[in-house]
Amino acid sequence: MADEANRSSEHPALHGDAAERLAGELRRTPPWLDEMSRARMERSLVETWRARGAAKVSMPAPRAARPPAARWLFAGALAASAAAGVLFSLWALDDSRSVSGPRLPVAQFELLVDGMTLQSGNLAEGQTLEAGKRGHIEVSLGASRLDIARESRVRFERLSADDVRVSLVSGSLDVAFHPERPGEQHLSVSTRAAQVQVVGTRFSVHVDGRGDTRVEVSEGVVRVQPRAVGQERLLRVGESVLVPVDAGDESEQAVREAMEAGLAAAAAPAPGEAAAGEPLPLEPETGFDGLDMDFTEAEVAEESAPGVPRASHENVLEAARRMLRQGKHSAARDRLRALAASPAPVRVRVEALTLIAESYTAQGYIPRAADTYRQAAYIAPGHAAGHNALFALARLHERYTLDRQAAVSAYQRYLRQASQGALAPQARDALCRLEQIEFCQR
Amino acid sequence: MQNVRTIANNAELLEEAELLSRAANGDEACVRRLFRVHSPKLHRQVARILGAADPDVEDVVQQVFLAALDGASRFDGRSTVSTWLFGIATRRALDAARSRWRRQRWSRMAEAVGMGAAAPAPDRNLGALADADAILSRLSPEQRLVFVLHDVEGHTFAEIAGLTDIGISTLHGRLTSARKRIQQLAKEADHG
Repeated sequence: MADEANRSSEHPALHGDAAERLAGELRRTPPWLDEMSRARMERSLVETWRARGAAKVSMPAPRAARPPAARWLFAGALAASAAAGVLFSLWALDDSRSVSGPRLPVAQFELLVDGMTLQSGNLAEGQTLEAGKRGHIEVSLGASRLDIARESRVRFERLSADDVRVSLVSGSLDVAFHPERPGEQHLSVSTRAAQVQVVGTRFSVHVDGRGDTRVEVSEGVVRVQPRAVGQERLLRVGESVLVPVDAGDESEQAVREAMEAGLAAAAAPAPGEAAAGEPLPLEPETGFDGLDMDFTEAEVAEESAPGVPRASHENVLEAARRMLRQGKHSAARDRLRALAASPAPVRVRVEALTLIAESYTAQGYIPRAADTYRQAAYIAPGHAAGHNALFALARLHERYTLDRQAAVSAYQRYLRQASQGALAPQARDALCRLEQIEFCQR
Repeated sequence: MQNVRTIANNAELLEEAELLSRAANGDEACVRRLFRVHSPKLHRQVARILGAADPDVEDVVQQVFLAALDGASRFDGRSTVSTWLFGIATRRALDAARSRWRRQRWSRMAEAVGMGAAAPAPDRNLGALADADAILSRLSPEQRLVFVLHDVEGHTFAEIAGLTDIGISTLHGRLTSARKRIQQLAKEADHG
């Protein structure tokens, strides 16, 4: 009631026409979530959730609203029986589906600048900590202690008493891990290049701007597994190893070179297409509508987007690359999105989208990365750059989402469109690896 | 009659809570259902706070659901799941708006001292935005939040305080300054 009175006393008419007109205009045009966007968002959410694994929660029964006194007993009994049903189902679910051990009592962090605590608090799963230029962050996780060096970024993927998983996105991380129950408690550090698994030790991990990862052990033993095909290695005290990003896969360099060459030649059809005649139209996957970037002919014919003159495309790309190397992903993506949506040449727009996708990949937003590669493929059908984006999408599914079917589908689409393309041998190898036997015999 | 309604509300509350619980425990169908039920309203809330054409809207909505699924154990049933999600969405969107506002501080400063117009936001490059959105983009995130939630969406101060953990008197002050700023921007637009 008081709120009603409060609201009426603040009627827009009393505080000026401009604000009232603005509010009225906004009320007439509410933001609308169209069905295609909703479907895309739902798919992205489910893929991300699936990739992160089922959560381990036990939820208290909700407190039912208090019923009126006259019938409280009846309503209470009904609510209690319903609550018991929920509790039982939760118990049953927990029993059958819980995938990890109990959570840590408290995971805490402290941001220190010049030895002084500037900020502290509790950590939650999925949270990211980023140390600035002057500070470093100390994290206590039960039996382990992590020291995040300045200008470093770490995401905490899982925080349970027996399983701590962190991702080092950039910078350096020192780890001291002394489990109370050796062999049962695990800690792992993932980077773009490698996964470092620990059983009780002290070591440091450093990721440089390119994504290469250096691991140094000062106590105990760690196991380093390159993310790409490569040999696992045990590191002992005093040993160190440098894992280049995607090292171990001999085809990687060829892939990178082919993608760069494809971008450079994006304006012209790929040699394979020239021989094969008209390029095949791209078949967008279910759920992709290409609406994020509406690259119609009419739009291409428009004037250059304000702030992104044609002459500065390379500068924008270079500035964005520099920002990405500095870990400023969000700001870099903003610039790249503007460039991708501008009437710049296809080569520039595809490169912008490719960089956005790589940024999303580096930050773990895999479904968004996949969407962006699809967009890149969509705007350059029949061109090598578009085919390369399709290949990158396939590789993303193979390595990150672990969606075998999607990877196979994307590799096959690549081969349908660019059977003689620069990446065709790698695509066939990948299909063979994914147990598509017919590709193993060539 | 009121009792019947209360009982029905309780049943709905329990059903919602169970849906959240099952989704958080890995039931994919429940994740999808939770998303379908709540995404339109959450999207609208986030889009109001960030701007309908803001490219981060979808990311923020996804973060809201991931945070809710991760933190389902913290849902205590004192409000509906919908209200709880609204709170998460509002705070996440405000965080995203503040982050963007900080990133754009140099261009705003350059504009203020007459060194040229601020660099256009990426969303402006995607097409013509309504004048309303252009004016809103000049408000601080805190001013914008209280203006759109109170004057546009019709929430009371108490409701906004519940969603954001910001005091009512602070909200009141921000709304007043938001309205003044809008008046000023509208005048500038008329003269310019």
